[in-house]
Amino acid sequence: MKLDDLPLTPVPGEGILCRLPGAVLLALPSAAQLERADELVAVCREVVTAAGAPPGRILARRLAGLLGAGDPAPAFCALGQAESGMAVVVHGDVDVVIEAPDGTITLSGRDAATWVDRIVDESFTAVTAGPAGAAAPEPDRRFELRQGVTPATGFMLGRAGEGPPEEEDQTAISAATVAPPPPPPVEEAPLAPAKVGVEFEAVSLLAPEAEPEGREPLPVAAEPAPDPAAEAESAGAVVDGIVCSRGHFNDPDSLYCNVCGISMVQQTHNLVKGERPPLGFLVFDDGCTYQVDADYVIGRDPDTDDAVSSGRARPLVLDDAEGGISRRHAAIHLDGWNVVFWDRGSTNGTYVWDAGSGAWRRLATEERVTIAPGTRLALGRRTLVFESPHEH
Amino acid sequence: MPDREGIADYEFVRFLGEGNNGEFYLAKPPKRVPVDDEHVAVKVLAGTTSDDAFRRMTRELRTFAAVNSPYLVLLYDAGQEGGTFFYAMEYLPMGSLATPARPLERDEVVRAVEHAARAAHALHEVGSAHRDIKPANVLLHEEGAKLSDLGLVQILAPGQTVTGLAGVGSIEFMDPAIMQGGRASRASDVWSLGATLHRALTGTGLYGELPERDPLLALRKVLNSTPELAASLSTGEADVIRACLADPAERPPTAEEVAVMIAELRDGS
Repeated sequence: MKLDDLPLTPVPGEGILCRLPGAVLLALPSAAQLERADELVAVCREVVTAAGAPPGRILARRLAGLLGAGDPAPAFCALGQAESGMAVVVHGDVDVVIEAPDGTITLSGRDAATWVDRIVDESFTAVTAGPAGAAAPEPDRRFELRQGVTPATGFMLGRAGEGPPEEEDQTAISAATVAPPPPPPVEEAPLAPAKVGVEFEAVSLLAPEAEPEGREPLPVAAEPAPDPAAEAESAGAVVDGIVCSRGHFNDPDSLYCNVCGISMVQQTHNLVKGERPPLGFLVFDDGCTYQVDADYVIGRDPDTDDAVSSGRARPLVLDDAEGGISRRHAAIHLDGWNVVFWDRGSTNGTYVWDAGSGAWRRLATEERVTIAPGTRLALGRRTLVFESPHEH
Repeated sequence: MPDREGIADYEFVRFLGEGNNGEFYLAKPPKRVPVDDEHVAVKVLAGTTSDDAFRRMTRELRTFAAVNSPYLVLLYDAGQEGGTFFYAMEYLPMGSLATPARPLERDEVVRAVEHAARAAHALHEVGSAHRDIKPANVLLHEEGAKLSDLGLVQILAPGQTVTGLAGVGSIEFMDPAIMQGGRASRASDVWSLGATLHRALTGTGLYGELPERDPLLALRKVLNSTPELAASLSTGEADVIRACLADPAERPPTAEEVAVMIAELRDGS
């Protein structure tokens, strides 16, 4: 079944039920989590508005991204139409029961440390959801939500063999004011150009003369044993470091080798010059991972930055659906063995998670902070973690 | 989201699936592309815009296209429309080693990885590393397999190692030396061939199952653990995989030698 073809009956109660084209969200926030619940609704709206196609997968990803950042999210479940089937995300004390011809699937967020997600195939006929462990909700079938947001503690979507009343506005609950729509984005991301005439550039790869440059075969010789001094001539920056007993080049302050993990406490700390190894990874909420082995300019359009066009920094293209990322939003510079991060005067700011105070702190423009492994950062609606292999 | 009806003068027939850094569509080739195929596969790349990146991509694709190997997918055409990059290649309807269209015999699996190794060798001989050998990029046909989807990530977004959640699973096929900053080489592709063979033969990964929805956890798992071979492998299979995963200096020096070793696994081992 298609999500939008099924009637949605709310189970009255405290909580928020939101229905949009191709998506259904039920959030059961505590009093302290109302704002987070609004964020969930906002994400649904954005995804549904932005996606020209079934929003299921992207909705699942975005909600998962939200769970990874900020305060604890309320218990919720979300259904999204996918290409062939339905994406389901469940977090916290919510049960979702999916009825299909070949059996009933129950997904509960209660037993998962993070969340449960699943793509169920199109054969499902009905979905009910409500607080975990509670008896199956008895929906009042006089009510139906066609689109909008309404208070509810559960819902029933469809019911085999029972269609809803056909009349168009039969006691339909109008969009309530539980969650106001999000304010318009600060910077409107340009929409994909409408396809008027087909303008494109193409290069044939068929021509036998396609060989652009006579490259040498890759060297067959096995890599030489790491020799920091010899490698220092290559592309990476040269820094002072120490060498572990197995020959790996390290930060002079390391207690353990960053490559093999061997203790370096017993090593004599003779500083040598060597090529700096990658200092870690930037792992974004959507799974994109970048190696921290060079400077970066991060933003919607980092290619326009001088540091990028001159080759001093790499571009790292980052965007969010709300247009909350500036063209040049933030930057990273490697200073010796340190990773320095700063905001480039972005509209919506750059935030660092301060574990001490348990809050996000907005960086002043151009305020430079050295980020330790494990540091969480937020740009617009996007979050990332600076991950280094060895501090965990 | 896969809602495109076409790109440039390609008319899409249907969505095929998500690949590393982009989406695949089945398409009808335009008249200007002189191929006989009824259908071609078109990859539409995500989030790539600059002219510079376009030049780098076409250069890399040309190198790939110029390699005369029956084990590499044929590339037809590359282009961009409004800053969105795409390239077209031959369509193999039998799916990939990761998602074969029908159940495969063990010998078919072995032969497919052998062919991927031969493809990698052909690339190496023209100075190119594949960088992204994994079961999803080993496309099947009735006589074996062809290696597809050259790892353009490093070309298009330097420094990027994982391209979003769809790519999280691919880190189990990445030589740890690459994650530590090493350059792509024959040895790193050989490592990936070993990891691909392991996954294809056993259905399990070298690091167990990675949490696909949690990139951070997946990365930590890969960085902090040692690959472990499944007990279900035969001695011969395990030996080949172990050789590919050895220290770079100990690995088979070329992918061709890996292909020969894998070929010996056929017809019972």
